[in-house]
Amino acid sequence: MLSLLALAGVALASAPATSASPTTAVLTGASAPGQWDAGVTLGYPWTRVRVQRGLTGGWTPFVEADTALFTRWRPAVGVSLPWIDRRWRLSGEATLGWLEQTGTLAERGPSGSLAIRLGRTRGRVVPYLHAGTEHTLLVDRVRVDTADGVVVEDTARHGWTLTGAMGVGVALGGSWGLDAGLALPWVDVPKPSIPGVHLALQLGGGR
Amino acid sequence: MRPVVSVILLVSACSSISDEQRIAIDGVIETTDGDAAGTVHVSVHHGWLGEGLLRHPMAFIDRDTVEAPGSLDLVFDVPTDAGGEGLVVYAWHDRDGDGVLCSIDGDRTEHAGAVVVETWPAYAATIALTLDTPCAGPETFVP
Repeated sequence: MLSLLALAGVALASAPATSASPTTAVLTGASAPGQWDAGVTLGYPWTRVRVQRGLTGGWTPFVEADTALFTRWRPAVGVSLPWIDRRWRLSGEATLGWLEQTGTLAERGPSGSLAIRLGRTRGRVVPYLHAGTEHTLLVDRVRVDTADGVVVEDTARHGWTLTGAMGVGVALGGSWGLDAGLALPWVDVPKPSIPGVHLALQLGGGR
Repeated sequence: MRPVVSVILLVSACSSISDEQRIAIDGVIETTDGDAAGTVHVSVHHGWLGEGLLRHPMAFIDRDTVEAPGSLDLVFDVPTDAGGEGLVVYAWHDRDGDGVLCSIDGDRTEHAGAVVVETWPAYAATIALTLDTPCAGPETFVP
């Protein structure tokens, strides 16, 4: 036990907390140019994986996939750009993806989202807030068997989900960190949604 | 722009798929009160739907109206992939025109009736429906 504590102490003592840490990069949505970062979030009901790479000018393309209880899936590609990068970093991001929900309330369709990521590196600690709006094109198909043949009727509708999360990350080393937080989405507005909790690991810093 | 919209619609066309069968129902609705005026509200129901604790009778499908007792000629689209059992046509005679069956302040003698469509599934059916039970809701006629 003492060895583990000593190891953790050494890691904390030697870990610089910079805006280039993977924890800051993933939680605020912007990686340093040429830097790869990734985050794995495990929680209830949401699980998420995100990989991003910084480009010049602050642009940070990424791929991500999230799932709720492995029933609702949404893989997506997107790009993030920091708008304000001083004491606080505020980034805006946009994604294009695909929603696939199985089960009784099956849904599927192309999906797009806009979101902001707000965070600050204060020592090793990175408090953050995420908020976004996600829109999905859903088409319900009804096949009506009539005496004259099958008539297909398609009805398009709009699926709307508000996304949100808040929590605190800790940069534990130059190439890794953790965060814990709350997921506060509103899935398929106006149906009620339950909040979630998560623990996440961030890795990266590689070029 | 149009091809883009087409592609989006194409790839998302299967968000959910449900199957229905269209049935044309004709025939006659008679009343036993001798009143030939007033709208008749007609609805179609599955005899039974669901499993376990959710199993229930007279599961509502759709409704329509005819102007008065007499001939009937309506079309309904009936779900065929939800496990519904049987098809029942229920109707009641809105004698006071308030849209409510036997409302407290209205006519308390409005009559209702139901008939099982024995030939279901079919594209067409002919029924003879007699409204002879006062103030009876659909659940009164569980097949």
